[in-house]
Amino acid sequence: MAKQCPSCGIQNEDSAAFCDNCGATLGAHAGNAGAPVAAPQAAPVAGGSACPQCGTPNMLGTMFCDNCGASLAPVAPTPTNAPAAPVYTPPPAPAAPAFTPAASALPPTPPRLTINNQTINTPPKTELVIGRADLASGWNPDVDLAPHGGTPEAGVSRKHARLVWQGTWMLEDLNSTNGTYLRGQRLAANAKTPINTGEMFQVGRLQIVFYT
Amino acid sequence: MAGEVQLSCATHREQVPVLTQPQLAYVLMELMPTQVMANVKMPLNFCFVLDQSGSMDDSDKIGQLRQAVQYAMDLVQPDDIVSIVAFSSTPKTLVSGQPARDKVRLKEAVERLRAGGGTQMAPAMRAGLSEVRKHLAPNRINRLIILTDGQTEHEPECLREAEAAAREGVRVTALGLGTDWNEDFLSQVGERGTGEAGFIGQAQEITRYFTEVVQAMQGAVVQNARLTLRLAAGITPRKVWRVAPLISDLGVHGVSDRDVQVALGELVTNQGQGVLVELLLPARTEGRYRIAQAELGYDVPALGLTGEHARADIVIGFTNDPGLAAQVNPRVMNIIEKVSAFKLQTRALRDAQAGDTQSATKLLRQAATMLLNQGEADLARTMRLEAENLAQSGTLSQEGKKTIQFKGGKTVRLGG
Repeated sequence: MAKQCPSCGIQNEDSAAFCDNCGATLGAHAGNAGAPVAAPQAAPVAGGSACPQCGTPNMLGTMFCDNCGASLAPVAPTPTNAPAAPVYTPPPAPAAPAFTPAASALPPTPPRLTINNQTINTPPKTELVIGRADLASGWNPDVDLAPHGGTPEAGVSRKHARLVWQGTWMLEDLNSTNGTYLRGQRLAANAKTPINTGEMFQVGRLQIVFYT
Repeated sequence: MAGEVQLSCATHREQVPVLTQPQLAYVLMELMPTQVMANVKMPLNFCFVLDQSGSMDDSDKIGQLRQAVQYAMDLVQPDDIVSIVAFSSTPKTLVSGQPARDKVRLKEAVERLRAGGGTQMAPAMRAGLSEVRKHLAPNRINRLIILTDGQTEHEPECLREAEAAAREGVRVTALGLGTDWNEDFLSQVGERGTGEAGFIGQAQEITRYFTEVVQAMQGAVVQNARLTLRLAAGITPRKVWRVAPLISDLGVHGVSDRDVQVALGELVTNQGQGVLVELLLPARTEGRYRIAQAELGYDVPALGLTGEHARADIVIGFTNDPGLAAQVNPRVMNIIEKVSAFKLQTRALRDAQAGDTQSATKLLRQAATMLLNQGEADLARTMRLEAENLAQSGTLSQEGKKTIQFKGGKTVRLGG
């Protein structure tokens, strides 16, 4: 009797532990592999896509910047429910430029945001709400992530976060369901944190690089 | 039979986060001859091609060389074939290719190494090759081991000789002694001779290098090693690095979209080889996935084995638990960092060569910081010094450049 892969549907030999095509776990211990997309949960930042030191975009999950070698690995938090594994401590990332607030009305240029190296244009405003448009209620954020994979499945809320110009750009989570992450940390809701050019932030599971 | 090689695989994280976008995963594969192979030795057929030009008289380099060759004679087995060619302006065959049975007589012949004259390496390579050719056998390690302390005349001719040797199955090991030789040229000799180049800083170290070279030849028990990675659907290979014994970019070669093939050559006892593969994983739901199957094909000529295999699954979990997804395998991470440092130093040397002092200085400083972090204090110190040299004088020191070029890729050690 052949074993059908729940993920890709390919028939596998009865003794197979993993699907020969897509690699999903087969049989009793399959876990959730192949199940429909689970309700989105907060996922950690898997290494930055833009280097905090030199701004070079790197593939998600890259451990050291391809250009300058700076560590992009997030600092591992204390494991929650796993036996303690040796934790690698990455070399300290270079300190971000100190934040010096300065009163200024309009930013010189609107910030540029990229997802998977694709640029999303932003209107020239000092406050940009990031989220996904909702046709039913007629809601349209300044930065609509829906065309860029910002779906409910990706953990993106309608009103998810905003960028506010206060002499420098600040990132604020708008009490989103799945959180906004910057430098590997989930931001407290409704609190503003400075964001520097080249930094990556995460909205639900969608990773966005911020450039001024 | 199987079980002559242990193939082990580890990913940089056991679990990666569930994301909607593709992400990179790093897989370290270690290939090590097992205990079964500990006492197996490959029979040898090699020629020492030794510089005895006038400059070898300085600091008694010639005396240290004599001692090192005599010590090497103690390491070889009676059935191993050895020959020795010394060269200055002309080559002299001190020992023609013969089994190393009468070691007393061999050592006496080494006493005839005397410094004097110029440096003409190509005719000596030709003479060495003709000695090795007398006993050329596919089941032996056939090798030319060249040592020089200076700049030879007719470099292109030497490169042609190295290629000629490689074509006949004789690999070339080229060792530079001191700081007065041309590192780019000797690297080329090693490369064209499908062997390697090395840097011996002090004459007192010749014995250690020759010992390592002879033991590595004897320990090259696993031959014709080739690694195949069969990737699951949607997985894309991005980079394949050899990380040990020497870091090098192997490139990505496949027979199809789903297969990556890497020719690894020989595996040496207690040294093995390490390969680091960067794979781009597609978005997946939570669960455990076999992202690739690794298969190593190899031969063990000393035991009459051909077409043996070792296999391993490469499995990774996708998780929504941020705590689990943040844990890393420190060993794999260390190696990723060493490869990153190697990339920086390679670019630094290239930029220094091209005259971009500013970039080279910056890259060297960064590589030094990473290596210091990895406990490679000596290499890090050299790089930091050379970064200062560059910043001040715009050039690298002869010794520093050689150290970076020849030792900068040897930071990963397997086993133990």
